Amino acid sequence: MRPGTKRLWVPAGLVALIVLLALLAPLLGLPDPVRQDVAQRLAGPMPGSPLGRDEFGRDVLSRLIWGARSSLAVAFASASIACLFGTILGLLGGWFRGLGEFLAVRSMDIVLCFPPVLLALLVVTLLGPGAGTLIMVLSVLYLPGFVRVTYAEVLSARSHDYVEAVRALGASAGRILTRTVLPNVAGPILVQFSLAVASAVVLESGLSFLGLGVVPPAPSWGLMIRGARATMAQAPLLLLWPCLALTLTILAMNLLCDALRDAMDPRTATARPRLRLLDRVLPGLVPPAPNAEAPEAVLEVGGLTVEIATPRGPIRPVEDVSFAVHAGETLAIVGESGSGKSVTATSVMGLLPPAARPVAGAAWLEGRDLLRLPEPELRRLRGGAMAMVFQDPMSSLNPVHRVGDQIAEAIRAHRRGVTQAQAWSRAVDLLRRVGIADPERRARAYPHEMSGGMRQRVMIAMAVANEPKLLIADEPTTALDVTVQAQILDLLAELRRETGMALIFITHSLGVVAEIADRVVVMYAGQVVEQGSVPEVFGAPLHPYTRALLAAVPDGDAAPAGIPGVVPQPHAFPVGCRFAARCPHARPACEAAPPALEGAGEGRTVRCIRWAEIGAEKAEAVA
Amino acid sequence: MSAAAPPLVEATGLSKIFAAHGVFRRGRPVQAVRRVDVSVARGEALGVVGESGSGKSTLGRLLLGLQPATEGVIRFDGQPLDATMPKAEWRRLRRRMQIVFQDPFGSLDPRRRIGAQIADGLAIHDLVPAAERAGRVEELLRQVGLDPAHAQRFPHEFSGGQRQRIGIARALATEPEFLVADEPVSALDVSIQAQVVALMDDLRRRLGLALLFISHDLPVVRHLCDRVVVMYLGRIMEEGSVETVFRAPAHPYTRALLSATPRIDPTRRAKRILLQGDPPSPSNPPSGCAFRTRCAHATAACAEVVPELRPLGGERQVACIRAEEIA
Repeated sequence: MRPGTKRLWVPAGLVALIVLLALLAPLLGLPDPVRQDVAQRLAGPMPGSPLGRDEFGRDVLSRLIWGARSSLAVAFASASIACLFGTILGLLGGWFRGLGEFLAVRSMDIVLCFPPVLLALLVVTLLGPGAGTLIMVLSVLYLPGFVRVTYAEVLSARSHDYVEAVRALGASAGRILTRTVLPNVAGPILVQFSLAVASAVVLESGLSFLGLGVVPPAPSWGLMIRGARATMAQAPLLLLWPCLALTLTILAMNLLCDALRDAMDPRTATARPRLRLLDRVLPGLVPPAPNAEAPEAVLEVGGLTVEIATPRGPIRPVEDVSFAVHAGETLAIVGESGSGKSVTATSVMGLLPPAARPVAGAAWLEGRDLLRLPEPELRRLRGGAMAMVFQDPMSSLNPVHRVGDQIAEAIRAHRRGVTQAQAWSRAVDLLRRVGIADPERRARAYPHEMSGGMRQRVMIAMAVANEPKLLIADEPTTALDVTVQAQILDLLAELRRETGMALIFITHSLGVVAEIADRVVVMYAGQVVEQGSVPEVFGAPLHPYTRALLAAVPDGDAAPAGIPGVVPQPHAFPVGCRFAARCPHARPACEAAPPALEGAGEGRTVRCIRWAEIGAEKAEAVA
Repeated sequence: MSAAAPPLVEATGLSKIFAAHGVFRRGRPVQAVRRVDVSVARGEALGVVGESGSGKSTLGRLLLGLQPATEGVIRFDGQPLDATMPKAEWRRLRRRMQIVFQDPFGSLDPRRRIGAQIADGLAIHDLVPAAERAGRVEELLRQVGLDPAHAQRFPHEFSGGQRQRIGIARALATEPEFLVADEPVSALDVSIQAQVVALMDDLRRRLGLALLFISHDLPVVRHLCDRVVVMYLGRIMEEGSVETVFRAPAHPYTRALLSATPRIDPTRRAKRILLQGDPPSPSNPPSGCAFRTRCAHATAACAEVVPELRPLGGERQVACIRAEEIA
């Protein structure tokens, strides 16, 4: 069963118990709830009356259970009526727009203008108290809530492609509304239903308390509270029981509806990973690896392994990843989604989500291991010695501040004693440097006033503001058009040449790698499978995956060839070579043991036990 | 493509203007598509390329009648598409044209099993008796390379590439003659992209589909399509056979677009023509030629009159007054 359904049992059982008790009240052999016995007035618990007697000597337990009948009947009836009509009105208003929308939504606004209790009081005073009147009043009161929720959900649902797809299939409006839109807006409506029932129970009790609801001597929780109030000094427990019943019912209702909504959504099948406190306090890191023999590298990552705790057990989206990047060099990390390239970058920056942690390896920047630095020191490095540019500049820029202020802020965060005016003029210089025309005026613009390409330039200006030694760019051009991408690639290459910073460029596009990078790291399923200089790796790929990836890109005259199968999930990484299942050269030996990363010439490594053999075969085939 | 056969889909003078929203209608109207003539023959694959804001997606939706055109006439198999047509008539036409979307996550209903979603088209048009629908769904799944046993699964249980196959199966269920594919592989990884492109190529040849393939990825269009239309700010800049347009682009914008595409093979890399700035907003397009603000060859004459799409030898048309001069 899905985990969502397990959470359903407790609240569902509780609500079922309450409803059953109310329904079965006549069969429980309870004393008559309206039979008075003045001799036993306000008596405490006694045989036959476990909760005692009230101010007229009536049995409290019996009145409580019979009272649930009227309270719940009124609440469920009114919420159901409101839900039915509200959903229909909301669906029609949201789908057909125009006049229907106006009538459905605006008429509800009028109802909303009346204070709810006042409206209820008015109607009850006019029509006289009683359960029927109550149901009518409460349905009208809760109607606008349902209309508005449904209307808003329909508006957002109708913009989805899957609704457009059913429209393209020629479905009628009725079919679309019932089969496609309704199931997708059902979650919020259910929540609204739980809120309406809970608040109807309270309002019913309140009105009965005021003597405007259920008519005495019929039992109701509100009437019980009203009665107990008068004798509060003599028998305080009498007040407790109906209040307890009210609270419990409302709590159970709300829990049930939350659980229902989760269970009805097939997408919430996997629960969010829970964060283990232990992992936060004691990151289980091995002692730092010694700094290797390449001291001139700006960043050196060795044996990096990242673990994420999930409900299905820990997974390792990045395993044993090593690479180095030197000053003035561009290193590309390329791989498909799920290859672990972004996780690698975020762990170097110390920006991993809480559930993930590095469990092995080291990342050396200027003699310091980034994986073991305390957060305050990391913060000093981020935006200082190392900076990052993200894929989506809109969500990385603060929408409520001018871009000039944001760049100035980045400068002042790392340099004490810089005045706001100095930082601002430096920000303008930086904007000019990244190719923004009219930088004085543009510095005063907000992010939403700029185009995607311009926002990415601002992000780059911010990243290079403190002359970083290392710039990590995570898919910086993926969201941009090709002509704008070409501009940004040129800009990054130019900045790197001028400042001598090391650039790590993360991308899924092999074409971009070929255009910008000196060296390339090819990742597959969390591991490095090949590494070397770009002309060598692209000219003569050694790993079958690199070769297949290059063949899959439409470039030149050959038709692109897909790679059969899919990338394995981190939960199900095979023991041996992770590419074996999709590899045309796989042998039983490949699946037996994990292949090691082998050296293959100057600055070149490959993770394949058959690379030399395959290379020889290829050479033979050509000859 | 014989010129004699009448096209399956033909649009003339097609325009789409999105009115400004808000109480005071302050914003300018967005001119998404402006006086476009386009046609797709039976069995032909027409590529539509352009950057964001070029109007290529709107064009696809207009041709399917999913959005009403502001101006112009669309004919499907000789019959004009008209919003006032009887509903039954529309439904009959709907069956014959379908769409595949870009986003493999948003295009499937997350709450329904994929088998039921594929069967929707069969049920709506009553193509297959209810008892035989499951069998037809299995057949469709097999056709797009999926395990027929997976019909009872929910969309979230599939990878991006598999979902895109499901979307294609849903579109093929009604046995359409015309398929609009709106960036169907843009959200996929390269290795998966090539699989889906190969599938679409195979299906369209086997089923004789007329295909309108919308993409910003020029190399993919080159491999899949017979003819290509290059759009910029809602207008067609160049049109012709894929061979001609890609080998010898005539419009300065086509050239810039081709040269900006990153290439793996360094020997194929053309001299980069770096365009300045961003494309202008479709709500405030420049006068005259839409591309002139970013064009290295623009003259004063370019600002004066909107260049007409004119034939330029062979099966090619171009909307540039200086096409011959700058060739």
